[in-house]
Amino acid sequence: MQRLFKLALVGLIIIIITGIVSGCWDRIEIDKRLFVFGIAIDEPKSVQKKIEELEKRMKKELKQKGNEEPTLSEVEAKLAELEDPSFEEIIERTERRSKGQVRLTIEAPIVRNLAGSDGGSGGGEPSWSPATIASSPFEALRQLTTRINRRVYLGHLKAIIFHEKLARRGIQGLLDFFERDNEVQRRVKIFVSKKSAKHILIRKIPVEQVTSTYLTGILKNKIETSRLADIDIGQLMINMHTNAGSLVPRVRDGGTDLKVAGSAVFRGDKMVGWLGEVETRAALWVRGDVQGGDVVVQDPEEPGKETTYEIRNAQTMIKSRVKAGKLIFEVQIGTEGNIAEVGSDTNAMNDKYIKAIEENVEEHIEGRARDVIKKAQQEFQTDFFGFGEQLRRHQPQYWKKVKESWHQEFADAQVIIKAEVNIRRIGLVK
Amino acid sequence: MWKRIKKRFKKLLKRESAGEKNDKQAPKLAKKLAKNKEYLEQLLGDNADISFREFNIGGRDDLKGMLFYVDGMIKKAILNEQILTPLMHRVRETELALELKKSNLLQIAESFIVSVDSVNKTDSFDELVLSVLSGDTAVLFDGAKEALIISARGWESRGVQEPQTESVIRGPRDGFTETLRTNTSLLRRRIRDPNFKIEAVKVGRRTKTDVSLAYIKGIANETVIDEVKARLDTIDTDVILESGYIEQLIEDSHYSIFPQMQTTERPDKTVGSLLEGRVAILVDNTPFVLIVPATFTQLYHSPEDYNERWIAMSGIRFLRFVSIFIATLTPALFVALTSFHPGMLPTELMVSLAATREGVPFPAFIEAVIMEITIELLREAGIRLPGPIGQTIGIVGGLVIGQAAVTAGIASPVMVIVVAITAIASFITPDYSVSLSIRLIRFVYMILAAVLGLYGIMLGILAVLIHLVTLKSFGVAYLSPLAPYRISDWKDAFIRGPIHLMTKRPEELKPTDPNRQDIERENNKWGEEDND
Repeated sequence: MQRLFKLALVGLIIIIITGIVSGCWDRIEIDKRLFVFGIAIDEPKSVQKKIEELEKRMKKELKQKGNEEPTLSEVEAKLAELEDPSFEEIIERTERRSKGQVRLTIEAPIVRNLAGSDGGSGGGEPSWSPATIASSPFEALRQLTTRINRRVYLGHLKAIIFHEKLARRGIQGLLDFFERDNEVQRRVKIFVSKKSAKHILIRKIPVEQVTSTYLTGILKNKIETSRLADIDIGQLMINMHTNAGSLVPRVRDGGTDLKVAGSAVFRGDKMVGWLGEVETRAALWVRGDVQGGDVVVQDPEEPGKETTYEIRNAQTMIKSRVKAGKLIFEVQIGTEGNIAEVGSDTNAMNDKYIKAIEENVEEHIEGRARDVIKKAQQEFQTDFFGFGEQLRRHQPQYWKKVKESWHQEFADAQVIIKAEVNIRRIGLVK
Repeated sequence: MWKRIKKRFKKLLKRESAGEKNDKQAPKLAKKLAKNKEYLEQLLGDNADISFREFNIGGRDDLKGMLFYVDGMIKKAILNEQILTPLMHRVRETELALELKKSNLLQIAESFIVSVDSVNKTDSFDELVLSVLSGDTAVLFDGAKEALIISARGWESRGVQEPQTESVIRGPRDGFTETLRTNTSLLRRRIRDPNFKIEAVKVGRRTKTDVSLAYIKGIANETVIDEVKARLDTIDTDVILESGYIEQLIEDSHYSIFPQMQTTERPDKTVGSLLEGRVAILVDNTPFVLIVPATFTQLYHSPEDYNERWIAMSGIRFLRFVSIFIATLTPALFVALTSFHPGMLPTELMVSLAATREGVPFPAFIEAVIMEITIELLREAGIRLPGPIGQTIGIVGGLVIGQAAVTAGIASPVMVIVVAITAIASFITPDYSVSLSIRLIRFVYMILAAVLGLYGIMLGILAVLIHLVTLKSFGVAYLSPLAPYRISDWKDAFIRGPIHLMTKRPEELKPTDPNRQDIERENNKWGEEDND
C-alpha cells in the first residue's frame, strides 16, 4: 500500500512539475490568433519602376489640366513640386525597400465581420491585408508581427500567389519555409499571377468575402471545364525536388472578378512559360486529368455551324517503348460524353451523324494534344505530362540512364496521340 | 498475495476461537421467570418501546408467562389473538388444562396452544435479544430454561414502487423496497428454481444488518460465491446502513474512481445477472442491490435492452457507449482544439468559433470550468430540492444562466452548447455510480487539455485505459470482453445480439453451466415445422 502511495505521489509530482515548467507555451486562445488565409508574394518595386510610375501619374495630372502633350521637362518640374513626401523621399524609401527580395502580403479574415453573428453582423471589411518587405518569407512574417497584435497562424492557409517575375527566378527558396513549417498544411494551393499578386489578394469579391477562399473555390470548378490544372504545395514540392515539370494555375485580375485559367509551366522550381486555357486542357488530356468540360467542333452536316460535345469522363493510357535508340510514347485518350448543343438543324438520332461528330472530336483532341506536346518539347523543353514518371515505372533501367537530362531527352522523344470518343447520349430533343 | 491470504486466515482463526470463548460466557436463561425478567430489564428496561407483559396461563396462579417484544415492530393482532387469548383463556376450555405443569408448559404451549406459523426455541439471552430487536416476539415461561421466539413481525414500510433511478419504458415497473423479505420475494417470484439460493448473513457489530447472498447454484462459479462469502466475513464494522457500505468494504480496489459492482433497484436486472452467473448481495433497509462481479460494459446495459427487439436496441446501446466519450471528452476537446490546435478545425467552424469567443474575457479553459461547475451546481441543487422545485431549478439554470452568461459576455454560445451536450450525455449513463466517476474525470481531462492540448488528452485516455485493464472485480477483468478479448461475449457488450443466438452465458464469468439454450434444439426447431 505504501509503495502504491509513493508511486502515486511521484506520478503526481511529475504531472504538476511538467505542468508548471512547460507552462502552456503553446496555448494561444483562438481569439488571440490572426488566421492567414492567403499570402501574396511579389517583388518589391525597383527605383526605375517607381520613377516611371510617378511620371505616368504626373502626365495624367497634366493632361487633366489641359496639357495634351506634356514635355519631359514639364513632367520633371511637376515631380519636383511634390511635397510630403517629396520626390527625393519617395525615391529614397523605394531604394531602401528594394533591397528586400520579397514583398509579402497576407490576407487575414476579420472573423467578427465574417461570422455575421454576435454583434458585428453585416458591415465592416471581411478581411485585412497588411504587407511588408523583407528578404525572405519567414522574415517578412516575423516583421509583420510588429504590425499585428495577434499571433500569426498559418494552419488555415489556403493559397499562395506568386508574381511571375519571382516564379521565373525560382521559388525553391520562397517555398522552403512553407514546406518546413509545421503549421502549414500540404494542401495549400499555389497560383501564379502575371501582374501584382498583392492586387489579386486584395481584390474584393462580392459573393465570397475572403479572396483566398474564392480562388480555391474556383479550382474546384475544374471538373466543369478542365481549363486549369490545380496543384498544392505538397505536389509542387515533390516535383521541385525531383526536377519534374509542373503546371501551376494562372490567376488574372478581371476588374470585377478574378479569373483562374491556363497555367504557368514550371521546370523544377523555375517557371519557363505560360499555357493558355485550351492548351492547358490539351495538356490535361495527355496527363489523363480531364474530368469534364466542353469540346466545340464543326458540325459535320452544316459546315460553319458548331456542335458541342460534353465530356463526362476521360482516361488516358500512356505506353512507352524504345525503338532503335529512340524513345516513343503512345498516348491513348479515351472519353465518353454527350452531345450538349447541336448548331445545325440536324436530327441527332442518326448513327452516321454521331459517328461524324465523334470523329471530329477525336481530331480536335488529337490536334490540340499534338500542339501542346510540340510546345512542351520545342518551346519549354519541359515534361509536365508525367511521361518521365511513366518511364520510371515501366522502364526503370532506361530511366536511370536518362533521368539526369530527362527534359532534354523528352524534347527528342516521339509522341503518338490516339483519341477515341464515344457519344453515349444526345439529350432529350428529337 | 500470500500475505493477504495469510492475514485473512489468521483473522478467521482468531474469530473462531473468539466465538468459542463467547459460547462459554454467553448468558443462558434461568429457570425462574423473575430472574430472567430482571436480567432483561437491566439490559433494556429503560427503553420506551420495549414491552414486558406478564400474565397467568389458563387462569392459574402458579403458571406464569411473559411476553417480551418491541412495540411498533410486531403485529399486535397476532399477538393478542393467537398468543395471549389462547394462553390466558382458551386453554381453560380444553383438556390440556389438566395436564399443564411448570415443567411441560413450554412444550405444550409450542405444540398445542400458540397458533403461529414460525416458532423457535432458544436458551441464549443473546439470541433472544437479537431476535426481539429484529422484530420477533419472545414468550418466556416460568420454570422453562428456554423461551419461544415467535415471528410476528410487522412494521410500517414502503410498498413496492417503480424504481426512481432506473426507469424503463418497456419492462416491469416493480422495484426493490427497504424490506429484505419483500426483496427476496421479488426475486423468488421470478426464479422458480430449487437451485436459486438465498443465504443469510448478519453484518455490522451494532446494527446487525441482515444481508442476503443470492445466486443460482449450478450456474454461478463456486469460486466467486466463496470469494463473496469470504469477503463479507471479513467485514468488521459498527454500522451498515446501506449496500454502499458493503460495496466500499469489499471492493477490489478502494482507490479506483470506477465502481466495481453494479447497483440496481430493479429485480429484473438482478435476475438477469443471476442467470448470467453473477451473485447478488441484498441488504436490509435499502432498495439497492449489489451485483458482482461487474464489468464496465455491463454498467452501460439497461434491462430494457432485452425487452425490445435487438436491432433497435443495439443502436441505442451503441449510442450509450458513444455518450461515454461525449460526456468525458467534449469540453476537453473544445479547450484543446481552440487553444492549441485551431488548424484541426474546418475553416468555417474555426471562423465562427473565433468570432463567438471574441470579447470573452477568460481563456477557453477557465470558461469551460466556470460553465461546468455551474452545471454541476445546478445538478446537485436539483437533487437536494423537493421534486417540483428541482425541475424548475434545472430549467431556470439551463436557460437563464446560459443565456445570461452569453449576453453578459462571460461565456461564448458554443461553450453553452458544449456544456449542455456534455450534461445530456452524462445523463444517458444507466448506472448512477459510473456517471459520477465520468463527471469527475471530465475535469481531469479539461486540466490536461489546458496544459498539454490534445497530447494531454491522449495521455489521459491512455492512463485511464491502463487503469481499467488492470482493474478486477471479484476475479473478473473489468474491461472484459474487450481486454481480455473474448469475441463470443461481444454479442452482448457494445451491441445487443439476437436472443436466439445468445446460447451461452458470458464466458468471462466462467459459469459452472455455460449453456443458456440447447443449441441443437434451436437449430432444428423451425426446420421440422417447415416440413409439415
